Amino acid sequence: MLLRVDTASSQPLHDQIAGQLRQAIADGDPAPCEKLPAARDLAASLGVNVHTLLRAFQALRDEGLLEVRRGRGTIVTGNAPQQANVVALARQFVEHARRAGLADANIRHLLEAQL
Amino acid sequence: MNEKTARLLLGIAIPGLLALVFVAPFLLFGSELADRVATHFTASGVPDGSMSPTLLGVTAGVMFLVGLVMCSGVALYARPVVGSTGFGVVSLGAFLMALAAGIVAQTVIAQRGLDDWTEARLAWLWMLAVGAFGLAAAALAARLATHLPHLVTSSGDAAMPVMDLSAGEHAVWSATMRSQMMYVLSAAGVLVGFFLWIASSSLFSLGVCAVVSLAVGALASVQVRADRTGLHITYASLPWPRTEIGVADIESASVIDVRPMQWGGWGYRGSLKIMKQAAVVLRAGPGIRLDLRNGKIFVVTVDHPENAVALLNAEIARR
Repeated sequence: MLLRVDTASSQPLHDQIAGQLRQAIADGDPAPCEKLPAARDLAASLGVNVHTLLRAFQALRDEGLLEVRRGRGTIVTGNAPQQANVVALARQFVEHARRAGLADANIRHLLEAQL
Repeated sequence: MNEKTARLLLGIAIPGLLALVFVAPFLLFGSELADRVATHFTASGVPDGSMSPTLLGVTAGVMFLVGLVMCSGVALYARPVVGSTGFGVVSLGAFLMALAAGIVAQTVIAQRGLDDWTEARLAWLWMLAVGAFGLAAAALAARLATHLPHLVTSSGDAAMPVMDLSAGEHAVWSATMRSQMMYVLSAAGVLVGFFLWIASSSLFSLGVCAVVSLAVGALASVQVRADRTGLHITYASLPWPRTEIGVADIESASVIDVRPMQWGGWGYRGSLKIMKQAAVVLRAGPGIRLDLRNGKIFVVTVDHPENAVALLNAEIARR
């Protein structure tokens, strides 16, 4: 797993980390059920605040890609690679829909109609 | 110290001194030994097995000869020594010779003058001293072996990629490695311990097997992280022990193809302090090789090491 952050970029640091970690999980590295290095170690390695890193972890936890266990570290969920691909497709869908001028309420309605 | 002196010390001087430790007690006190000497003891130090002094000499002598072949064979005939295997063979040989000599010397000195082998008592302090003697001989042999030429000392044409990092950019690379074989060995060690416990009610054997199995099990899973500060390795996700090598200490990083037998097997092989090279070997295949600024070499097996090597070389370039 390789993560890079660019402090000169306009994209928020937690978004950079979450995006790269999401892609890495989709690629199977880190593998499902693998434990990630401690948040404070990763934060120190990247030269970012630990809260920035935890914010990225939180986003991926909400997407079902990570499982944060208190005192036991952060683990990639069992079906994370498949889930990561679905999340990527969902993000693309929302992006396309917004670019096409659809309001968020309409996007939700569209998704519900497909279910 | 030059290569010739190291070879002579390892091949002749050390085995000669250890042979003296082996033979001298027999020559000095052999006539004062009973017909049989105690050789096996219970945990409380009471003897429960014996053999004739001659058989003791032959048994320990075979152990000594095996050690002699290993130590002197590599020191006098191997050109060059193959990686940590050379260190391992030389130090194990010295250990076996010292252990055989120490056991014989301790047995003869402690049991001279006894009328019957059942009067003997095991002195734990002496046994610890014999063990320490063996380890000291192994460490000395390993230290001397650093002066022998090695096959795995040059990075040669190994791949040394460099990552393109801008001024404000930081990167971290991380991987977890697991060795199925070491997990199996660890489990087998526990089973052997239980078998010995059931067969002989020996809690000591169970304890030794459990400790060895735990050590093997802990090394079966390592997490490797490379970043702007260097290379970090943690074992079994535990906070200690860990291996840290700072960027300031690294001359260059490269991709290496690791053959476990070149490094003396699996697990943590060698020692940066004693042997000037160490490796964390969990399987055959690609790994990260660090050539340190003090001439030492550190290797760890990981999948797809290219990014880690490129990142470390980038950090070395901008330190």
